[in-house]
Amino acid sequence: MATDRLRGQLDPMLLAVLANGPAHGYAVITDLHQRSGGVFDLPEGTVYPALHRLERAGMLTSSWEPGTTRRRRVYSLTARGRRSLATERKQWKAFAGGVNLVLAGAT
Amino acid sequence: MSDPIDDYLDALLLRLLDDPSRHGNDVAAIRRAVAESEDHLRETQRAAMADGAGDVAAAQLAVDRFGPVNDVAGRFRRSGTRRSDLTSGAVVRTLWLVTGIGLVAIGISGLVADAFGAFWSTSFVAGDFPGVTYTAARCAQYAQLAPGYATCEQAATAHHFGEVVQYRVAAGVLGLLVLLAYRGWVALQRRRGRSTALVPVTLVGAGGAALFGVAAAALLLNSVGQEARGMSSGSGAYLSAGLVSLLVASGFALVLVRSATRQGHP
Repeated sequence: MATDRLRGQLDPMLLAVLANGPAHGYAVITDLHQRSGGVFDLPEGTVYPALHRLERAGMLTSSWEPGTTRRRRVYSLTARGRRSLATERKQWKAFAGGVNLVLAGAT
Repeated sequence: MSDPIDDYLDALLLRLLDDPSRHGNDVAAIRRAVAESEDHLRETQRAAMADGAGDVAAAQLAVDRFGPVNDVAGRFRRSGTRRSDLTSGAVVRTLWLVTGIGLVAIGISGLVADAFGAFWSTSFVAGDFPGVTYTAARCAQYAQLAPGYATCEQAATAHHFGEVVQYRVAAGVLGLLVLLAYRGWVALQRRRGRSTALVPVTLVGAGGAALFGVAAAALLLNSVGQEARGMSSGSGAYLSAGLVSLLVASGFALVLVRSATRQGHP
């Protein structure tokens, strides 16, 4: 259920993980899983298309990691991505606050 | 024993390549998607082996955690639907292709109409409604245009039948030239490394099915309506065009269904 709810919020979650610094896909997924306390356990292969989509939207930039024997793509947040993340955080706080107020009043 | 990760990557590659709307530069995106997927799967396999899993079991675990290949491929394809896929260039290329297909369909309907004339009668395709008459001058023209017929009505029908078949076949030949020109242009663009992407294939399928489906419905209803009113003369012209439109609409619908199925939306 938590994973289903995550789908609509995946993009800001990925931006939030990458706000800590550049990371490759495997690290992004591991971090997302760990930071959610294991609650978000979505199919890992679905994260890469989301990263590609965010890159096409100008929120992320990526490049092959230099100096490694394996080809590994590293993603970084762009200025546009940071602005989008700030907006998403603000909207989420307002939304979550509203939901909390309603649910807290329910009996 | 085959490697589950290799099998998965093979299936992923095949599904990503099996998309007629993707050409040229998109190959790089496909290669990148497969490379990243392989890196992730091998990393997961290594982690599982470090936890004590066997080689194959760890690979299978990595594949299971990555998700169903159809779902992942569909998401990669949708993530590749760039804004540029919907720019005027992609729309013009798509219209170019659909126009060529439409003109060829008209040409085929001309051949079908010709067959109707041969197997039934030319009046079924190009006969006049009951009560239609011609002036003496017009009859003289028809006699010149279609000599050898006993009556003015027969000459007029023969002339109109020829027009239906010839004009449609001419449109079909034009359509073949349009498609040949498109093919040549695509080859040239690919050599130059430029994009030849169409609008998303689902949109092509839906648009084509709707366009030719509506045309088929209108033409077939017209034909059936004429027959129902006892005016079979000329209804074969609509019937031939309607049947070919239905066939083309079915082709586009098949493209739509295949595309939706591949993307995980049966």
